[in-house]
Amino acid sequence: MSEKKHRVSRRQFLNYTLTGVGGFMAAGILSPMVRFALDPILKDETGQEMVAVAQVKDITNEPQRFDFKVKVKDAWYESEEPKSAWVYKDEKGEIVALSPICKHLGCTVNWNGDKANPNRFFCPCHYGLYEKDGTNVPGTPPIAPLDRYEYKVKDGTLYLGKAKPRGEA
Amino acid sequence: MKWTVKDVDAYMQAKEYVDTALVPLVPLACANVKAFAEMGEHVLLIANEIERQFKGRVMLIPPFTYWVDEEKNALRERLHRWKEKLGQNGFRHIFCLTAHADWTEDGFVYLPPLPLEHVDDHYKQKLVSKQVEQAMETFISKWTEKN
Repeated sequence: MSEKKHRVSRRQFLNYTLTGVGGFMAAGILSPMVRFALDPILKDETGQEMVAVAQVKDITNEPQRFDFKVKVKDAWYESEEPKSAWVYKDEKGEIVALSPICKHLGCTVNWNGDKANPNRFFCPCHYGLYEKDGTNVPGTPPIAPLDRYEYKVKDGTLYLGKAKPRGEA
Repeated sequence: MKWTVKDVDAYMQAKEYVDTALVPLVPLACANVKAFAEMGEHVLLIANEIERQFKGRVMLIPPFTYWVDEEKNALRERLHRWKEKLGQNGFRHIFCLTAHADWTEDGFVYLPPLPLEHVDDHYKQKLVSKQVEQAMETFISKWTEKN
């Protein structure tokens, strides 16, 4: 009885199968393309991961230099770029991680680098000075305070992210 | 600063602050190649590190490359012309960096090569950091003596 209603003609059967198989193939081709197109949007923006730099127990009130490496991608060439940070705890016990890159022309600054200016960061290139918290000393070449690294502490280890101009970090 | 578009652009805007040229000397040879390759690698490694620390005042010039069996006087003359040219273009201090003991002139920073071939990258950095420090001190003392 109902068998009669459901009878599928040869033409219909072929139509169904071809549409089905064709649809599968189209989906197989299109889905990676859609994924590629959306990929840049789906990627989170931070781009750079946090890097383990030091043990929190090693950090003192006196700025210490810690060296670490960050993976950078320059066009198709991936490499590790060495970086440094001056890390200390301020009066409130909070960790401060300063970028050693002078805001003048990009030399590396040193803590107590100049005997005439104790407890300041000193840039040997053009004698720029910064206070302990990174503020530039007026009258020296730099025109902005040192950048601060974004940081987080996890299981007693200090992780640093990107260096950002003061006010943003 | 390095000899790249980005850095040269910065250099053009801050020309009066960049008064030091750093010329790494890289030897080429057909015999005893390993030793000479090591010298070149070592010099470039240290030159790059110095550039990183003194970015705002030092221009890292592309390496001065030479054959070790080049005629000595002609070679010295060629290097001399390089230095002259750099001097004419506003570099008041010119340092040549070499690991090749043949060079014994003024304005040379000699770096005895370290056997770094089998050393891990991490330790390599520690080993050379001492030499980098010494080289940087040479720079600083030269800068302060004239000011």
